[in-house]
Amino acid sequence: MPTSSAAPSVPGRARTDGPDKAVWAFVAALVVFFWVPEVVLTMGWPEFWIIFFTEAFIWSLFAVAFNLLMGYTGLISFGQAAYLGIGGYTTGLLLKKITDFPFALGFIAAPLVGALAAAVIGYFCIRLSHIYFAMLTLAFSQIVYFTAFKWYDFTGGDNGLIGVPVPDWVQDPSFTNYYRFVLVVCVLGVFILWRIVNSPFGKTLTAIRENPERAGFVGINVKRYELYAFMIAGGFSGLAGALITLHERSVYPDLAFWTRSTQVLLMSILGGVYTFSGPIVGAFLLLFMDADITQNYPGIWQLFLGAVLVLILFGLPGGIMGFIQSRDVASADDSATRMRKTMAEFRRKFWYFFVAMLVFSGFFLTLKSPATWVTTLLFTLGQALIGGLLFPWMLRQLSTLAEGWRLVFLLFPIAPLAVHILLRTPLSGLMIVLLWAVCIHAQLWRPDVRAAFRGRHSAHLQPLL
Amino acid sequence: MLLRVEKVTKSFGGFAALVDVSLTVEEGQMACIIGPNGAGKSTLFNVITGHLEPTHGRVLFHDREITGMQPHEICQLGVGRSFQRTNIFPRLSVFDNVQVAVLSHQKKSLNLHTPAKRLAQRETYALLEQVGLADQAQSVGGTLAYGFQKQLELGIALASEPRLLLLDEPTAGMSPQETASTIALIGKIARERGLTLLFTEHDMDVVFSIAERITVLHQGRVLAQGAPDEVRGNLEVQRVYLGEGA
Repeated sequence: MPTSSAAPSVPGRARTDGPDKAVWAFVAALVVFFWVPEVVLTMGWPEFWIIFFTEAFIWSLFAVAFNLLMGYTGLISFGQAAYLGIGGYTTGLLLKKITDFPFALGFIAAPLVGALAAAVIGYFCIRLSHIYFAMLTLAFSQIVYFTAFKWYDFTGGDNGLIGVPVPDWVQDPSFTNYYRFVLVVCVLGVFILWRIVNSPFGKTLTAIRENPERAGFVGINVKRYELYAFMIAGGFSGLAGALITLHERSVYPDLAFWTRSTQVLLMSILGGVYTFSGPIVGAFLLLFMDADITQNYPGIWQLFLGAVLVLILFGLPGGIMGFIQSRDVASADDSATRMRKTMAEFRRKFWYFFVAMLVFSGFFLTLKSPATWVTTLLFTLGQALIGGLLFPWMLRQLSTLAEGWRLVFLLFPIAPLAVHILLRTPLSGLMIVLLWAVCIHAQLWRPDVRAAFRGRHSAHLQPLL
Repeated sequence: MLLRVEKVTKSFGGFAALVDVSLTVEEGQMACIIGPNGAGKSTLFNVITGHLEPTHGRVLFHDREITGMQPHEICQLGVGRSFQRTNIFPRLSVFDNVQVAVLSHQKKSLNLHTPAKRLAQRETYALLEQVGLADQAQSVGGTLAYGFQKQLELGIALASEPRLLLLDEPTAGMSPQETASTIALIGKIARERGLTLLFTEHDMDVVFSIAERITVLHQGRVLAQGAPDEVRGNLEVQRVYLGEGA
């Protein structure tokens, strides 16, 4: 290894953070979501919500798998639904066509066949790059779709494959068993993907994304790694497909239709492709907004979604999680400068958040009842006026580093939540509160900021702020 | 003989970028290629590192033919390279930029389960220290100042522990002070590691101060080759090249 006369200093920070701590996030997600059906059934809410969350988990797994290609390797696949379909049909066909085929084997086969199919298709796709790669993946996914659609003898064609036999425990009338099965499988799947993106392999993929040419000149066989990434994404997509099949106990060609490929693309972009959690956030947010709006205000969902996307693409090019993540301020700065930068960043994000709230609520209210646009306009302007007067003062108070004000800002989004409940879109409201809490936590609960708020440095910070 | 380029010709359509270029670099040598813009210096580098395949001729590294090999294979044999325009991984941290290259060299890139934070820490920091970037390890590569990015690129190139390092205009776009310190750094690292260097450079002071052997390219052909004094004394070289600059 390199011989340097001075012994290199290896900072001790390496072991404490990162994957090790993140394990607890996965455990927490598992524990919290495990009890959702209990709550839903106890409260007497419709079982729809258990099914809804089941689907949200499956979409999240699918989106994270897709993002291994898009966000980490820089390969934009327009045909990821193909592997969803291949996985779904694998499990469906095995369980349906072969009598007494073991359930576990039929399930495990889906990711394996998905990865295998991705190996074959990927072999051709990775030869091209950029838009040509995307078009080729789309072409292959359409081949998969039409094969399933037309091959009546084998796949049932457009009638689908109905009545896939599943074990008794899956067919529980309250859907709780299957919900928990999906939860465990998805958390495990996402955890494995998390380990992969943090491994040397994952780092190598990001290097390929950043600069494939340079990656080749450090000895990385770029095409081979791209193929492996394609196979891993295909495998986990196949797993998600199998979960959908078992969930519906039937498979239709729609599973591989291109609209699913674009939906997973939307979810990833919405949540932020350069973060691991982005696609999950995007999946939940999209499904929440869809459920909220489609249920109560039919007919405006597509228009609203279009507007959200335009605003996200222009306003937050890094997606929601990219926006929320606290940017690491250059370590060369002293603590006072770091604090000043942190506060400035927080103020900027706060105003972004506030303006986005106003724009979205105004737009939504106008869509909902176009006739009362004058009232909506006045209402929005009134909010802007109040906020414009109140918030600068609140933000100045925060800059005094008083502990109480930090909590005020954490609790602040209860206001939008109330509005959301009034508008009968509580899920989206809940999501926004959660995201805001994460944002605040990322900005104001960082160790150095925490120390400043506890007053340890505030004496010499005061004049700077 | 570490590197031997034999009668390499490279044509793009009808245009011959290199014509019958031959040169040799001995182990431990600091060899330099000079020539006006468009003389074929970068094309020659691309042929040596496998980015381009020569139309005729062959390239041998340690008496082994490497013509037609893929860039990553040639890199794995021990040929490192830095680029004229900075060529780093812009949105990765300085640390990750170098670590990816170290992991690749250690053949650990296919490890899918161990967190990368537990691997190659010491080696990466040693390299960062050597190129003078240890205190900026956590900054994002693309946000560094130009001179630092060049140093980072050198770090990436060194990570694969090359025996032969090709540097394409390592001081392009630098101020005189930056040029001097960069050349000093490169010289120091090359001596410490016993590296063989093949570089292109437009600054004649730099060339004549450190190069042990100079090849002059002009319109894709070798115009002169030899020790600095011989090249300096060559009348044709003075006519087409040195005369304009001096």
